[in-house]
Amino acid sequence: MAADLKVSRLTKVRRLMRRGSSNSSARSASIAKEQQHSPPALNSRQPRRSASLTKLAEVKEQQLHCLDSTDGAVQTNNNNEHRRGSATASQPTADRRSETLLSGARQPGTATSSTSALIDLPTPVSQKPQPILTVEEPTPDPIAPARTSADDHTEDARESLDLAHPLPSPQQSSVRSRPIAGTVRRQSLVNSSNARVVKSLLDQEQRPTTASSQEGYFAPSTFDPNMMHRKIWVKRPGASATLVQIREDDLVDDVRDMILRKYANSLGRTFDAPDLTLRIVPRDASRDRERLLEPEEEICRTLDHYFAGGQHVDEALLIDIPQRRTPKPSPRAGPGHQYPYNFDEPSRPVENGTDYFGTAAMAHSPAALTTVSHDSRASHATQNPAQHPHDRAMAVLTTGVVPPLPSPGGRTRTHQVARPRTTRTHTSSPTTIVNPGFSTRPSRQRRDSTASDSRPGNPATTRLKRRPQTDKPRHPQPQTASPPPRPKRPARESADPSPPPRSSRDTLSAPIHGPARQLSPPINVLIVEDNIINLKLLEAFMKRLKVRWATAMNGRAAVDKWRGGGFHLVLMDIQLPIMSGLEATKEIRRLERVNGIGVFSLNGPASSGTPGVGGHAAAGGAADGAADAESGGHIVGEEDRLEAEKLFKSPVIIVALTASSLQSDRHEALAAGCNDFLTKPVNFVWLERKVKEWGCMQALIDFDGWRKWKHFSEDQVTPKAIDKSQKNAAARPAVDEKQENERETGRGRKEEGAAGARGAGSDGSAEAGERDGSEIRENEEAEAETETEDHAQR
Amino acid sequence: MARATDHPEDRVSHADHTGSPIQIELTDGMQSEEGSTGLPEAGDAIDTATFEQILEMDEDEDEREFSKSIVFDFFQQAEATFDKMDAALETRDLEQLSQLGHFLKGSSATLGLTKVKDSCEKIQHFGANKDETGTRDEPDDDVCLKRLRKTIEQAKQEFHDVEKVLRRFYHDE
Repeated sequence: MAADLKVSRLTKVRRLMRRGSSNSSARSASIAKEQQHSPPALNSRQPRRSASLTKLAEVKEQQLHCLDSTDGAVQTNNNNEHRRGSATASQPTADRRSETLLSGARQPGTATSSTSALIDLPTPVSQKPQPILTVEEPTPDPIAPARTSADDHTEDARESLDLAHPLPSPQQSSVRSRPIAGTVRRQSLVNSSNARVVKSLLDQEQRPTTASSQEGYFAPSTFDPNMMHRKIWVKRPGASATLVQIREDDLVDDVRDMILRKYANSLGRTFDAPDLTLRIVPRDASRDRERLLEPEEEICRTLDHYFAGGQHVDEALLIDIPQRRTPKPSPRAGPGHQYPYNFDEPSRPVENGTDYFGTAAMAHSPAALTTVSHDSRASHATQNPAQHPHDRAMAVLTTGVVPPLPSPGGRTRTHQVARPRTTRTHTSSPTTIVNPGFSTRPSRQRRDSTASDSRPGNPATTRLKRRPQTDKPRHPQPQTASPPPRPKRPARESADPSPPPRSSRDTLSAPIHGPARQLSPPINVLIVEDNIINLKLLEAFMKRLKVRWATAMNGRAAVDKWRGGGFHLVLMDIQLPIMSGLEATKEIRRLERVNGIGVFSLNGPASSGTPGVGGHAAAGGAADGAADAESGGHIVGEEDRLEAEKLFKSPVIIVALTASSLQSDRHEALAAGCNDFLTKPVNFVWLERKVKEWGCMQALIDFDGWRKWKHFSEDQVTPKAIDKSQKNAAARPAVDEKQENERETGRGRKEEGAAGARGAGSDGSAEAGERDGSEIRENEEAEAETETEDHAQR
Repeated sequence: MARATDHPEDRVSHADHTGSPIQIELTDGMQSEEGSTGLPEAGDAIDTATFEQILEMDEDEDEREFSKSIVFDFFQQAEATFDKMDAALETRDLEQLSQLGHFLKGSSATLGLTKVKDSCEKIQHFGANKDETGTRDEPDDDVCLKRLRKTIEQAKQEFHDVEKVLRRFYHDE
């Protein structure tokens, strides 16, 4: 085993030597040969020697002369075909070494002594300075230099050995042809499958002509780089870059296709290739200017033009998408419409990022301009965080310009209490779990809400720092072809809606709760679930989402609570005792219908400014003429009359929870009037998404209420509020302090509505207020007592 | 592939315990972390993805207060439900059995206790005079009861198995 290693190392070194010679001597065969003889001089430096080496040396002697440098290289290629791919861990080292060897070889007098020198160790030490050698050698194997002119026999022997032990011995794969310059790296992440590609790309420059007659049929030098696929960086503005694979002769139009494939979950759902435009941000802003790529351009040519030396990740092409239309019309534009409103998946706001809440969420930032290497693959070296500066990425992450991307394995449980982990399944797509090994990336500081605040504007400042142009591409820099640490969902991240409603809440509660508050829309969720286990979990989850919630353990209670008003979202278990979730849903829909609750109810913005009218009537429980008018002409039976009507700005969103995997159950739920459904076990990521989506939508619908709320929050303790809370407290002393607080601080909107009911001072107002107070709980005070707390049930 | 899972409907349609690509994928992705968190190794009895998201709710990874309370509540609930099932078996109350099965299915699904959940689903179906998958009717009460008896025993066994694992996980043995 040890011998094997040594042998391979020897061969490697020998090859290095050849390569070095070819470089330095302008590929003159004779010179190269001469140089090959030189290694012995080096050998002499090494005091130790191993038995295996000596053996090999014998063979070497015979065929030493039939080697020509080019031949040797080719043969090496052939022989090492299978190993070439393996990471060139020692490549740089080898590089350096070969250099040293080479220079040693040039010393007059040593050049001719090759064969004999191999055997006798104590040959005079070469003049070359030694420190380099010792320092750089990956393994202080003295034997190596001696091998430099090993012949075919050795090759064969080694090959078989290698086959037997395909261990990832340090390879010199691309060393031969690579220019030696600058710093030397010792590691490479080149994947075995790609190293060859990388190599042939690199080799191409230095060795335009190779003796094809000498090559094996799968000799790598026949590999035409032009036939290869190439990967280019693209990204959505403000999001993280990703690679798409293209062919060398692809047009921009083809690239768009590939992009859509890559962004299958976001862009691919909504857009066709012609919809996309690609922007290129030149590295040198002074010379070129940012521009759109035309579909018929040859992408590779363009890239090469703009990014000489290869495209770096920071130079990703920007994917622009057309501005989409405004969100779909609200569920029920007019009274009497169909209730079931299944939000069409492709138009989800969350998915499409900019559209729902404007472009502010996505900063269109010029890509940072940096350069790394010629081959686009070379830029993958960034994958190795230890080796390659990740600074810009870090800057992005830490400044929140681009929301930090949850890393695959990086789901920490401790550091963040404000919200649920979203890493896993925002897309639930398998592709999101790439490279679990990268769990240590700093990106695990997941996006949090501050991202949306800081996003507009500043990306440019943080990212435009130009990296000094170095001769990076010339470095024997580790090449890697394994997939880059792709952010999990570039598109999604930036798509995180930051609804206007949030800000209202932020201003309200930010001092207390910090940014976590911004994460969810200011909505109120009713959880209907009969199983205490599930209930507890959902409650805990709501708590984390920082949304308010109330609970009901059966369908009847759910309807009653809903009648209290103020709910935006109902998570409805389908199979419930007393009244099933479906029945409850139907009942709610029916009540909404007869009460004319809709987005543009006659009762809406106009009358909300005049507290007391609708609420008063409602509180009185009288279906008088005014009530008729309000409900769109329906005669609303007394029992169906919703009190505190102002709390019903729009039909509530009902999301069915079902443990059933049967499709029919789902259809049933939708038919009953549910807007959406989730299956148990509820995936929290999904749940969060639903809450956000629907909640944001509701918050938008209820813009009026939100505005009031905002207004309210600006001067938090208005006389009116104090007045009211005092009044309420007087009216029902039982109401505890927390509820009062909650009303004061959190629920401006509700406040407004409740004010309408109570403001008139009618008898019914107290009742309305009481229900209101008892049902709406501020999330902070959440406990397991929920199931008992159910005023409406009695 | 990726997009197939993006819609809840898709997700659900794949989401049987046996082979959802999503779930498998997730579980795989989490493997590395599981090692560090000491998530109970219970084979396919526990869906790690689901259970893990409960663990994530814990504020303190040592105490695991929240998840522990949930899990131990579930133990109680399961025991109580099994008792009720036994009673219902005696009275041949199929409907009650179906409801109980559904009930326990809900919470076991939430915890990711896959095996228990599956058995409970069967109980639910058998109790509803259906076959195992709930697709065909099985009018014969005796057949259903017989199946129920067997399945309930199985569910109990599965529950106790997983209970052991979980108790060990929470250092409560």
